Amino acid sequence: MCTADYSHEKLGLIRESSSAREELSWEKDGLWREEQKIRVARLEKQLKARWALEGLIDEQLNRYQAHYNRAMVPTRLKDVAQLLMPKWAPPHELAALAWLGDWRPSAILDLLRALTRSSSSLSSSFSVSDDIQRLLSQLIHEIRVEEAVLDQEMVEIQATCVLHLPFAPANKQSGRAALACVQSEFKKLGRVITKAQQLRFKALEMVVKKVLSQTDAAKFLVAFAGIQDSIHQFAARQRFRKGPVSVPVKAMGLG
Amino acid sequence: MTPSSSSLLSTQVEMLHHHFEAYYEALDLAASDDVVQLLFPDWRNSLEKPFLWLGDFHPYLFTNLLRSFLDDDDEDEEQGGFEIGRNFENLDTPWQIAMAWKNPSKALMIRIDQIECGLRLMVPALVTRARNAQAEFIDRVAVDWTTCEGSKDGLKAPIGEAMMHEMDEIVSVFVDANRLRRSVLAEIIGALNVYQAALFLEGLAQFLVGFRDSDFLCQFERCKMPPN
Repeated sequence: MCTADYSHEKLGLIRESSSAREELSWEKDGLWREEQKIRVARLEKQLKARWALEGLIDEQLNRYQAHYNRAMVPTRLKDVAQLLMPKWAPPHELAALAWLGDWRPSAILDLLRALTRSSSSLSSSFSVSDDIQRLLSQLIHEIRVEEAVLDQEMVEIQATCVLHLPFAPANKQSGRAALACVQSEFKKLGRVITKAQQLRFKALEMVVKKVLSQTDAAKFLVAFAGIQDSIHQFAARQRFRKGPVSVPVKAMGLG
Repeated sequence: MTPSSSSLLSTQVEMLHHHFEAYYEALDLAASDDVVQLLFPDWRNSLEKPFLWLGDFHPYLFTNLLRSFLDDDDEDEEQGGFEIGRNFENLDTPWQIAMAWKNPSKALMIRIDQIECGLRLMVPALVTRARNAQAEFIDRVAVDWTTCEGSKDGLKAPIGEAMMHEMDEIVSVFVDANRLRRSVLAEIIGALNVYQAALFLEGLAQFLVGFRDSDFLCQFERCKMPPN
């Protein structure tokens, strides 16, 4: 009996202390869960912001791709000249940075390298490691090699047009045959332009998707668009500052 | 062909050569004023523009034209040719002209190789200089963009300065490209006899004029790209 009483008391004590502990852990647990919820909500918010940022970056990239793609398909022969020397781009802009009608692909990478080097002390700086700097230099080299290959293809067309165009001494043609010769040369030019556009997009995509972190990619796209626009605006003002140049060549008095 | 007609031909070769020289000199002069108008010339039509390299035709074009006369003649010979080349429809074509490209001298062939070899060295160097000038421009603008912390207004003056600096180099590249065109032309004419030089310059002039044939241009303007 006594033993039983004792054990009852003991049990009561045990129950009491365990319920106190339970209360304590309930309270703690509730608090912990609350904190957890807040933290997760914050994380979720940041994640959503990141997804939104990723979405915006993709959107911007797609816009560049669409821009280059639209330009990729000349429908008439005379469009080729328009793509190589576009009237909508002021000549100062073209002379300053264009290659085969638009931004030089390696210049996109040059821009990033210069931005990462010059912005170390500012809040807007790019957090680019030495490894990334090395990767960037390597990519610039590779893209320049690809540019040189296309330069070579272009030079080949420009150098051999004197053999293939219908008014070339070795290839005098007239009528339909003459136009077919020109079509064939312009088809080659069109292919080079398409490859150049693809290389431009490849350079931009590499910067945004492979080289930079998401935040830096967004910073870069802002800087790229801002600099493109500033150069365009500046060049547009230069366009009419100087009158047309004259190239006086006397007519020859043969006869 | 009498000696007097030969000397008349020689004078005409000189005049035509001088005409090209004067044209390139005029381009150089205009470049110091505004090189961008010469690199992207408004006065060139849509047929010409794609074939321009640093503002004018590629210097390889001159050597390839010359090769086409020589190769053309090889073909004639392969076809059992002592027939008069297809460029000479007129049977009254003087013998010296008809035979101008027959059996070109070894010295001429060596000279062409030398000219082409020089071009292969010079052309990539010019392309690299133009590219480096662009890279330097981008570099300067990027630094300025960071300094003015992305303010487009703050970027106006630095862009102007960077562009002015770049254009100095671009003018120099353009003038050097013209120098290369002129020297190749002069070297070719110097290596040819008067009949060959006359035929070469005639072919070149006809080729350049071909881009300006208004009837053909009309057809070209309407013509669609062939499907891929």
